[in-house]
Amino acid sequence: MSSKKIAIAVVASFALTSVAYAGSAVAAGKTTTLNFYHDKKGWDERFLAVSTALNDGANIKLKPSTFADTTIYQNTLNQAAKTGKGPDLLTWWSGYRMVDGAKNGIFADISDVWASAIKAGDVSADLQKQFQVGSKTYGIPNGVSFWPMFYNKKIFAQYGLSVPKTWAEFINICDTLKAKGITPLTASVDGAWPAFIWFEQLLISQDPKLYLDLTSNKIKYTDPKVKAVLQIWKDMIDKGYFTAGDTSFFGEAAVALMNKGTMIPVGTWNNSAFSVTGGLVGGKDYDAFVIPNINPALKTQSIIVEAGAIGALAKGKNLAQSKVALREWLKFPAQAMWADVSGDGVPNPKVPVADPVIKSLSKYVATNKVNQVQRYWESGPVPLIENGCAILSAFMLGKKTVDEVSTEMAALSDKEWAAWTAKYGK
Amino acid sequence: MRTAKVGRHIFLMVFAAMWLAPIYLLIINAMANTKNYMDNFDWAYKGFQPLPNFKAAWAAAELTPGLISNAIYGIVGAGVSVALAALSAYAVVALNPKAKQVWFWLIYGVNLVPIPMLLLPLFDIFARTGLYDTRAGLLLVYIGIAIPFAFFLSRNHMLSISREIVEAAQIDGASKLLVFTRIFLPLSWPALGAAFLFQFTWIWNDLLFGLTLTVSSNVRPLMATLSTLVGQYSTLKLPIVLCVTLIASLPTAFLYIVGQRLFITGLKAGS
Amino acid sequence: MIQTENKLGRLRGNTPRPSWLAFRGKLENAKNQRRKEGFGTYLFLVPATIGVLFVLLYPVLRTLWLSLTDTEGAGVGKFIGFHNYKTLVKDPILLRTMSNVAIWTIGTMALPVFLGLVIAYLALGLKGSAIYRMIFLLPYVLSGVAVASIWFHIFQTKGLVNQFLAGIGLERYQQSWLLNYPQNTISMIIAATWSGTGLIVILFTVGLQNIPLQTVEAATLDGANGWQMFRSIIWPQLKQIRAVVIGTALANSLRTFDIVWVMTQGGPSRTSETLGVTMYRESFLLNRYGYGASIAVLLMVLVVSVSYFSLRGGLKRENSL
Repeated sequence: MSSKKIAIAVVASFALTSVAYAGSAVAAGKTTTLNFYHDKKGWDERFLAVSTALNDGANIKLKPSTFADTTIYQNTLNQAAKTGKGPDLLTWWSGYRMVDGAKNGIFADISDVWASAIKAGDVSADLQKQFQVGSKTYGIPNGVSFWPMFYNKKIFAQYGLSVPKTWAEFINICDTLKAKGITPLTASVDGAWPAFIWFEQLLISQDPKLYLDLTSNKIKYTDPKVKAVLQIWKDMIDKGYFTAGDTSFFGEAAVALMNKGTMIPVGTWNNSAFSVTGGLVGGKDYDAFVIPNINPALKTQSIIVEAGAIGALAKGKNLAQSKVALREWLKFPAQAMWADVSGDGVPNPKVPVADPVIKSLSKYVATNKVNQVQRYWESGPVPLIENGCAILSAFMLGKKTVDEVSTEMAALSDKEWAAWTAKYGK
Repeated sequence: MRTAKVGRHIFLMVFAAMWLAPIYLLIINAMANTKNYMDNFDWAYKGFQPLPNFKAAWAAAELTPGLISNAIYGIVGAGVSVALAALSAYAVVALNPKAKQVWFWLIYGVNLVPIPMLLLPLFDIFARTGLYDTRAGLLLVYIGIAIPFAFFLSRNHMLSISREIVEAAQIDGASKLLVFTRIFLPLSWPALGAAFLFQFTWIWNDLLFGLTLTVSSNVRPLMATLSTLVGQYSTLKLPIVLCVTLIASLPTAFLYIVGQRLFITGLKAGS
Repeated sequence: MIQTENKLGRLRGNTPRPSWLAFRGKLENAKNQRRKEGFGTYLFLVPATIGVLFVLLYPVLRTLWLSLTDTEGAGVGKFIGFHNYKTLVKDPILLRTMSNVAIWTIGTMALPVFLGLVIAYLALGLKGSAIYRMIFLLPYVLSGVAVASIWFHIFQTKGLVNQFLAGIGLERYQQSWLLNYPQNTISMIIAATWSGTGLIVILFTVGLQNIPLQTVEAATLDGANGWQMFRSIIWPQLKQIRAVVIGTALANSLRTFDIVWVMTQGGPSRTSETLGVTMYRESFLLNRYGYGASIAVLLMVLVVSVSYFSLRGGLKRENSL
């Protein structure tokens, strides 16, 4: 009995102190401190850097808290919607991943923030639809990353290889590297999710419209055009182009692979691994190119784009200030700060890109009007993507044939799309 | 007889060597020179720089608040749970309550529940009652989870305490509490000590409760903080991460080396 | 009880009483005794029970309730009766996940338990046995994540097992240990064996040391050799500690989650999923809280019933000594 009484007293005093600190700002003076939850391990410093820009511009400070496990992070926020207790700002994913949170009142509607930012030229209107559910917008972009092919420039030079303009040239590079004892390409099933990387890449290189139709359920996974792409993938797997499925290609592992000469298709958020962790010089030691089209009849190339989201908790205590913070985040000072600390691209077109690799890549994409296509991860009902990756993993490991994969994916797709539309409409 | 003994030694030495191999791996890679280290976790000697790696590890993982938090959770959590477990084990063994089996399974039963099942409902309660991200809240959970196995061990040991001693004390008019403190406690302290060590280690190494129920770096237990260091966005090199693991494991390793004798006597049924 | 009866006997001078009076006397004594025992006894039991219920009560009740709803994501679910359970029985992953649970259970019996017994038996009485036991116990102090990470690097395709095989000329046995079934499950069982055997060695050592020396000496005099000694003397004497070891090992192998989640996340392609992983996946990854809860209930029922039947046999009883 007594231990419980003590516990209640302790709990009560803790509760009182936390209530006193919550919402801090108003009583304390001019600066508002907003609680910012995220699951990007190692990015605390980047967010704190942005915080200094927000402080200068709007007297708002960020207090970032890292959640080490992404699944626990998502579940914490799911529960936050129900209990009303949570952060002021949070990171999330765009596209279909926002739907559940938007419909269930986790994210606040920030369409007005977008309207103001678009008007000021701080963000391109094209990006907005990735953060929309229905007619309302629920997040701002947390950096915008392309998924090019990173390659080792020195090894290319050593073997007389140059950036491929056609698919045939690309395959030739793969064959050359393989002949020299270098595994040409990375692929992984580690964690299941990386399985979609080559799937989406080959689809958009064949035809971006095919990809878009497939992911919006306009055509089926059993369509012969989809099967043809799967067959191309299978041929590459059988030729031994890819690294073993249990290799990772992020961070330190990416640098190790890069140093060996393997080409790595990964988001530009991984760029700092090469430049900072690996100490490689962009443009000299390594660089990136847009993967050429398989189908030579296509006029333009395509590239996968990944946009993370930052949103405000709808039931947050400091909602008004949170929205101010989001607006400020899109302005030049904060965006420039982000470009500086992350070495990645930013949504604000006015910010000059410092990193040489990102700079030349962005310039290429703009000049050649490369199609920017939303990542597979954000492009469909969540259970379809998650369970789909398990099926694609088996394919990558040679455990399923093209027909088996397309049939199973089609069945899964039908089931999950039906469940999704029943639940969320549209 | 002699050859049999030699044979046993050889068998045991081979297995012991196999057992130590992964620990060797851990150490050799934790002490490696980080300058040239790039995802090459293997047997080879890669330099030996324990001091710089330890320093980097200490700073990167904010080990000072982490170790303090863990010490509090471990000592208080294991201590309180063992105390409460001892009291209930005594009751079940010596005081003849009704429905003994029910009490046993009720208290031991928590040990059988899969931990992920507890995570979200506890988070739910914690968020609603303000216990989320507090040391007190996490402690309450650790105590609750640690009681069952401590209870199991204590009961097992207490059953071997001779009934005559207890009855003699009762005839002399000793109260229940006195019988507990004067007879059972002194006789069971090896078992209680062993239980403390087991539960201290469990609490010290906990990851899931720490991840789910806390978020601030000064409340978060050590393993949860450690897991923020690895991942696709991480900029820390593997030797530093392994160093953090090593440092984090030293206290428990030390306790076990010192307390090894305690196990054997503590789990003995006869005394 | 004995105390009171003796007192009464002395008071009444042991003269025989009419039976109904004697019966009423006994009843009153029993009631007095119960009241005396009751109050204090429960005071000892209550703190631990509260501690345990704090962690147990709400989660178990909530999980039971959730399993009867279709709660998903951040929304509120509605009551759907046993629908989740019906879906679960038809779920194609159930067969795979239960076979993995079976493999883990058999593997845990075959490896840590068997090996633990062998090591404990062989080390008994040897000089330096304490050092051996210490070495086997050392992995126990490492956190689950550390153990899983080390072994992941060992079993990775470019990892140390394959390197070792190449080093001794056995390249043809190289393979992706973690990417194929059932090698991935077996690899993880090896990792779990590494970390869990030490504890079992200790437990069996205790059991072995409890065997009375006279029994062993008598058997030796009778001419019992090693194997006979083990089978007829040692093995039966280990009954109680065996129940403890097997009971806890079984419960843990059924709930396997930590190592699998860190090493393979139940993959690739869900081939190494155990029931605990499936539950985590449905609840945490897919946010299907209702369905995940039904898997949790299944797992709980499995663990509790297996534990009950395996512990019941060997647990010491309070009244038998």
